[in-house]
Formats: sequence, C-alpha cells, structure tokens
Amino acid sequence: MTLGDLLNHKLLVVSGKGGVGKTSVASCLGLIASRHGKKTLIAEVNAAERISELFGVPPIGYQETQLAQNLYAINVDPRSAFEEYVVEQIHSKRLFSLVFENRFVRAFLDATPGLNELLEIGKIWSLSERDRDEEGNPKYDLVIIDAPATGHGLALLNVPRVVTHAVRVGPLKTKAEAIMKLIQDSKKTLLLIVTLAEEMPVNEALEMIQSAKTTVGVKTGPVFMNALYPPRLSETEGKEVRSKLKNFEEEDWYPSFDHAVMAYQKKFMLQNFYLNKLKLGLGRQDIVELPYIFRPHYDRNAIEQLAESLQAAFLEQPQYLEKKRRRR
Amino acid sequence: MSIEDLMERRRLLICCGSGGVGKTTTAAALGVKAALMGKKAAVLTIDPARRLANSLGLKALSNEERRIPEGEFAKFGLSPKGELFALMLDTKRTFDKIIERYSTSDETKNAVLQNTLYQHLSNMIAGSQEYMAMEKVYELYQKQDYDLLVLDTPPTQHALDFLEAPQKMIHAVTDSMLKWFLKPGIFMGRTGLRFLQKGARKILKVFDSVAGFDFLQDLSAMLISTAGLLEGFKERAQEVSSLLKDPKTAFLLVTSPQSMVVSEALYFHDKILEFDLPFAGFIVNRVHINSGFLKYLPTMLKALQSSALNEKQREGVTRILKSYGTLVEQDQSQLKLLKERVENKNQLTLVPNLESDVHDLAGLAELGKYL
Repeated sequence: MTLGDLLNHKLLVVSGKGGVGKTSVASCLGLIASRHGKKTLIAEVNAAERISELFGVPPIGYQETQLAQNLYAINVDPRSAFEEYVVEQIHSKRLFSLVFENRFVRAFLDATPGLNELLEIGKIWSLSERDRDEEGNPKYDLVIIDAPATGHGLALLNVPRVVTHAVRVGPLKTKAEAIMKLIQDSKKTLLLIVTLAEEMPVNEALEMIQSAKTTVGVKTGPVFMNALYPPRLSETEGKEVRSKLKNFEEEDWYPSFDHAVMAYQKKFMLQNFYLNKLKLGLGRQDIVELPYIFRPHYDRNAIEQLAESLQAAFLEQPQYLEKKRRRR
Repeated sequence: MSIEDLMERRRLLICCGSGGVGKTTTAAALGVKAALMGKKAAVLTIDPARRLANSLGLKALSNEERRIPEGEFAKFGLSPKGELFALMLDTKRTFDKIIERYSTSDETKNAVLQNTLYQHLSNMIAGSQEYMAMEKVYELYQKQDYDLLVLDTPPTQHALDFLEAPQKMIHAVTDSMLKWFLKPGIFMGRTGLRFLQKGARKILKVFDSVAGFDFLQDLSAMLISTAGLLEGFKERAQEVSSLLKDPKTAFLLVTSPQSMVVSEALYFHDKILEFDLPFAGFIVNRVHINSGFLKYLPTMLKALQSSALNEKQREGVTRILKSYGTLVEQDQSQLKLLKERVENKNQLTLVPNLESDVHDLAGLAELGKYL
C-alpha cells in the first residue's frame, strides 16, 4: 500500500501495545496528511492528553482545535460525548442538566456496560461521516484515532457490533449499525497497528490482527515497526573495531565505551530477530519500519523527524518500487 | 524502605503504572525474589500473554493460583527457600463467581448470567476489570495462606480508574437511580409511566428518545437483578477499599525513563498521595546505566580520531556513541524529575536496560537482583 492509498481512507485507527508509540505515529500521519492538502483531525480517546503536549499547545479537550494548516485535534471524552448526543436528541440543554447532572443518574450511567466506548466511537463516527462544513462538504477528509492499547482499542471498535446483537430495536441499534458499517467498510476504515521489535509487542500485534479480522471485521493496514535502531556497524566490523581499539583498553573511559557499543550492537541484533518474527507472522502484509528518534527531548521536532522517516519508509516498500518500475 | 524490607514487612505489593513499562515482568520478578527470600508468595497478573506463564515454567495460568514446581527452579540452579504461586485474572469468571456468591436465589442468578447485555458486555462495565483484580486479591488476602501477594494492575487508560474502582462499585449500588425509581415493572410497558412521579416520567421520556424503550427494558432487567446482589457486596467493596490503604500494603510505581511515560508516572504519584495510599517508591525499568559516559564522551570521540579505524568504522562508532549519549542524557533528565518526588534513595529503584529479553525463571531471578 502506498502512502497515498493509506491517506485516501476516511478513518485510520492507530492501536497497539502500551508504550509502542501510537500517539507519535498518529501525529506523524496527521502531519503528513495535512501537508498533502487533506483536512485532517486527530482524535485522542478518553486519554491523558498527549497530542497537545507534543505539539506544544494548551490542553485541547472536547473542542476541535487547529494545530497547523489543515490539521486539527480533539480529545473525545465520554461525558462530553454523552451530553452532546443527548442534547441533540432532546433539543434541550436545560432538560439535560435537570435529568443527567445528578449523581443518581450518573451512577446509573457508570454502571451501564460499554456505554463509554459506544459514546466515544459514536462521536468519531459523527466527525467522520456526518459533520459538514459551511459549504456542506464533509468537515474532514480524514479522521485519525489515537486509539487506546490493544484490548481497549478492540473493545472500542467492537462495541457497536455487540450492541447491534444485544439490542433488538430503537435509536441505539440504528446508530450502532451505522457505526459498525463505517468500521467494517474496508474502503473507508483501516486499523493500523504499531509495534516494537520486542517479544511482547510483536506477539500482541499478531494476536490483534487475528481478532481484528475474526471478531471485529475491520481491515488491517500496514504494521508500523517503531523505534528501530539504525544499522551502524555490521557484526564483523564491530569485531574489527574492538580489536583495532585494543590499545585503549587501559584507559579509564574504555569500560564505559565498550558497554555503550555492546549495548547498541546487541539491541540491534535482537531487534532483527523480532523484525523477522513479525515478517514471518504477517506473511504478505506490509511492514513500515520507523527509526528510533535519538533526541533528549521528545517534542514537535522529534515528530517532524519521525514523519520524514515515515514518508521515506513508504517509498522503500517493495510494492511501491515495483509500481514505479512498471510506470517507467 | 528498600524493596527487600518491603517484602519482609508488607503483605501486598501493588505494581502500577502506564502500559508497556514492564509491569508484568516486574511483578513476576518480585514474586521470584520473594520466593528466593523464603516467602510463600503469589503473583496475580492481568496480562493474558502466555509468555509470562512460560517464563515461570508453566504451560498456562488460570484463574486459580498454581504453584511453580521446584523442578522448574532447579533447572536454572535455583533453590527457593519459599514457594511461588501465580494466577491470571479472568474478569468474566470472577464476575460470574461474585454473582453466584451474592445471589439470593437461583432465579436472580440466572437472570443476570443469562442476560444478553451481561454476557456481551460484563467486562466493559467501567472499572470492572480493575475491580475484579482487587476482588481477587482480597479473596487471597483473606485466606491468609500467603506471606506476600504481588498484584500486577491492568493497563488503564486513566490511572484514576484503578484507584476509584471500589468506590465506583459502591456508588453503583448506593447512589444509582435504580434505588429510587427503577423498580421491576416500570419498564414493562409505557403504561407503567402513569404511576410515576412527574419528574421520573420526564426522565424516562428522555431516556426513551435517547436510547429506545426496548434497550432500556433489557438494561433495567440486568441492573435490577444485579442491584439486588450488589447490595450484598457493598460491604465487601468497602473492605477492598480499606485494604488499599492498609499499612501492610505498598504501592510501587513502575515506569521507564521516557518523558511521556514519566509525566504519567508523576501524575499517578499525585493521585496516590491524593487518595492517601501507601506509596513505597518508583521502579524505573530500562535505564541506561553507564556512570561517567557523558563525562568521557568527548575524550572517546577524540581517541577515535587517532585510532586505527577506517573512515567508515569511525563514522559508525561515532554515531553509536552519540546516539547512546542521547539515551543516557534523556534518562538522567527524567530521573531528576523522579528524584524530586522521593524522600530517600530507597524509593527510587533503577533497573538497567537489559540486553536480552527476560523469558525464564533465571532471567526473572536476575532482574530481581536489581530490585
């Protein structure tokens, strides 16, 4: 899949194990899409906000907020989504306050299973499918969900399907069916899994692809293998370097030096092992390899650097090169 | 208090922190360490990955605790003076068991267990996984079979969810509007509305337009049946809640030295203090420990210039050193933030970035040495 194909979707759901860099990848894709002229919204879901921190702007909350030209962000929290949905149905903010803003009803809602997930994905559906700009065009060309980690992420995508089974009739069922249709529409929606070259993240990524297919019915796009150490010295070169530097062995800095080089090289070898494991597990599915960004502070600049690498990584994919060859 | 002291003096260690920081592995390593110290310890994990089971020498973990056979330890030359047990939380099964335990009749029990909403969604009840984890821990705690319990908490989106879980369950019972107007029969048909207070009728109308009547009927059926039995474990929820604050409990915040993760750890630390829970320290995984590296870096780079390396090799090594330097620098600046939060150095445990994955008891025992 080319980057262009990827960005031509309407809804990209970015998930994967905790700590793999979901927010970074979602932010990069947002930056790239917006620069390709697509009006893009990045939606965090009920999260301790990270996008605002990364982009160096004040907290965003439940307001679509502009980050850059063509780029917007929102943090979808279930309470605000609930208020918005209900007020829309009953056309009265006053009645909403009267009915729902007391702790009895609140506790009832908290005890309703799946409600939060349904409200969150419902809001995303509105942003992607329903909301229009002043000229009546879809408000966003692309919505990117910075989704919760694997289990919660799948629950978010699965809840509309479950509701359509559990609820017989009524507005809730109708709405859930519409959301499910969007999620299962492979032309519009794509699940993007981010992972690391480590045992647990790779296993979780492979398991998630299975569940996405068999349980949720959402199409999975390329897998993003994040934070790879770039190759610096081959194994033989590494050995040669050590023998050539033998004369420094007595220096007080040498142990510190040796430790650093060994740590880097071992990590590099280990990551290749897991990269291969992922390749074997995925079969024909694409992998986008992203480098570790060596910066003391992880900020907007780091994201820009990662975005550049992401674009470059797509250009290196075999299918893309093949297409280019054919065009020639 | 050092981690060894905690193991001697506390009965419950709770490992918390954001996802992907190595909580599960840390919890398992704590369990192995305790067993090696002569304790009878149990580790309760939420992680469904089979790898943990395998690394403990078991084929799989189940909802009931299983002992790690001595033979498994012996394979790696380990001979624990104590014993180690492990179990994995099955939210749905634990929930089912609670319902069975507190149901007053078979009728109520079946009404809940067979409800479509319950079957599809019971593990989506907000905070239920968190709550079930603590429910299970409480059950083990009450048994008094173990010297030490180690709990690996679920990867929550919000640190708060986990801490508030018992309180939430209590509210669901005591505060829910179920109590004052959701009585059996009300949702049986629209005619029921006539008998309601004006205010309640208004509320139901709103609910009808928002969600639809049939859905509400299912939902109320489930909640009504659960409500009856929830009363039963309200007391229990309060006990679980006080177990968290018990002086024999210790909260260990697991983190890695990356900036986004550390800012979440700091936020979590605030919450632990706010809730008045017994904070015992940070465990920082994957630290690039290499004292003096940054100080030596200029000398190293200079030495490379006068070395026998060819251009390509020199370039490669230089880049490695600079990249590594960035990692050390990043770690140090984040550790500084954590240091500001601790009372003494015992509250900050650093685990070096190990060069290979931990995948067996030997690895866990090795990891335990740093704890």
